[in-house]
Amino acid sequence: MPEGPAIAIENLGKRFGDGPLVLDGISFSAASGEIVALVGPSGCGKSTLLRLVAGLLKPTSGHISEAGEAIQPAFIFQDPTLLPWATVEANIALPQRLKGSPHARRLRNARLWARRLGLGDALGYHPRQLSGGMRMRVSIARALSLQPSLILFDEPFGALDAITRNRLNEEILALHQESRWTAFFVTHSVTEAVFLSHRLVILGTGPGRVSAILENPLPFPRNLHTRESLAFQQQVADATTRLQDVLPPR
Amino acid sequence: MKPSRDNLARLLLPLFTGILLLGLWYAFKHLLGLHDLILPAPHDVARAFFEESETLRRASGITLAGAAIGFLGAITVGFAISLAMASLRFLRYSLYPYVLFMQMVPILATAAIVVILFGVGLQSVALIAFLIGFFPVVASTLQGLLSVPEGQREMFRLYKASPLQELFLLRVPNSLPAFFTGAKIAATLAVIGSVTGEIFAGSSRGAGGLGFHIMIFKSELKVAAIYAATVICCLLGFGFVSIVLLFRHLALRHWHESTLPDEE
Repeated sequence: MPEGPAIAIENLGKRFGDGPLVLDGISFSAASGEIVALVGPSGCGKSTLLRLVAGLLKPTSGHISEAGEAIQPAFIFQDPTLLPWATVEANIALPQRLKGSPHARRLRNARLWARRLGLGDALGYHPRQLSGGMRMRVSIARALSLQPSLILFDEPFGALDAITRNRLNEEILALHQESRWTAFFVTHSVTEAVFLSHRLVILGTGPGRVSAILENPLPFPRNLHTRESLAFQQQVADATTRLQDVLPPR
Repeated sequence: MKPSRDNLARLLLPLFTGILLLGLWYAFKHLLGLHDLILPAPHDVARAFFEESETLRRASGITLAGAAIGFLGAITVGFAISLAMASLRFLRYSLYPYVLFMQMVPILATAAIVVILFGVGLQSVALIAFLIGFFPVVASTLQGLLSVPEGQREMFRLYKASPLQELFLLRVPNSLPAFFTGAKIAATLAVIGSVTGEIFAGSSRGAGGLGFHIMIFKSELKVAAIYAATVICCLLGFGFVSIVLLFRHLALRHWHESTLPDEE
């Protein structure tokens, strides 16, 4: 499998209608197969930035190489956005169904991804019957089912408990080891950002600007022991300090 | 245990209420000394069921036919029009105010106007039942078709769903709870519409429905029979609503909160 694309974001700006600038002069890049974490306070335009990369919104100014249209990125939303009337299997198969792939093939593919995300026994369940963590697994399986080369995570684990969140973080990295997609990962949690990413982009508010870019040299593969290491703690502390700088004064 | 005791209470308490109401009915009649022509006793109503059984059975069939045709028309045409209005903005903007407006038309006025236009008979009765159910179906189905959560719409957009895919894979399933709400209203109103229609337009060659016979019973001073016919109207309405609720349960049981036990 080829690695994900390298993405360069250059001088990106966005305003909605006549409103104020939401994002201003955003520039950073992701190398092929890198996970870039986007961290910042509420209202810094993180979600807007992801939607620009996805092609769901058009930038007011600036440029994204390999913009949404060309590569068809996968998007993992804050809310799992599952169809409540469809089974786990049908939810995972949805993107392929929308593409018009044949019934048997898309179900086979959906079952494959369900098993990869530990949902093999839940194929016939409806979202209402699943826990929050399971729903998010379905959402991830659905996103991966098209084998995307670019994945955009919009704070997907914010609503989950810490243990579920940590486990999903580890599984995300395991899946990344296999397929090497490029990813942007928006999160409020510095720990999560440090654990997952090759690089952290810290955004400030009013309008959203890049405040700092931190390289994250922690080696892969990362696991439970990574979290306990001194290097990890230091990286978290460093990123937290940088984040303090962009928070509005009390 | 608790759930079974609860079920027992659900069964017994309405039974007690019924007995209490019958007692009050008798007491009211005897204390005020009301004549049978003003207020028949409950057992007179029961007797009227048997004495008029032939008439009531035939009339029920006719009322049922009018209500069923009207109701089925209201949900199928209503759903189709809702789809068109959800897909085409100019249609929605042009028609929606009138959908709301038409819900306010009194059923008696509808009945009078329809009879003037289409004459006496089943066609008018069914049309009245149709008109009374159609607008609630459109109003609520349209609501359901248009109120898809933003995240799901965005997800469909991301996967480049065609407008038809968005309509049939997202909007239509999303609208089902609201559609059934509208259908339930239409079911309740269908029998009322049919009976009202019959009062105005009921007799075609002697074969009248319950509404028609209520008028006849009134002129014949068969007051107990009016009560009996009224009870049948209620039972027919219940039957219609039960069928809608059954279909709703079958369609929504896996995913929608409103199908969790409790609501009957």
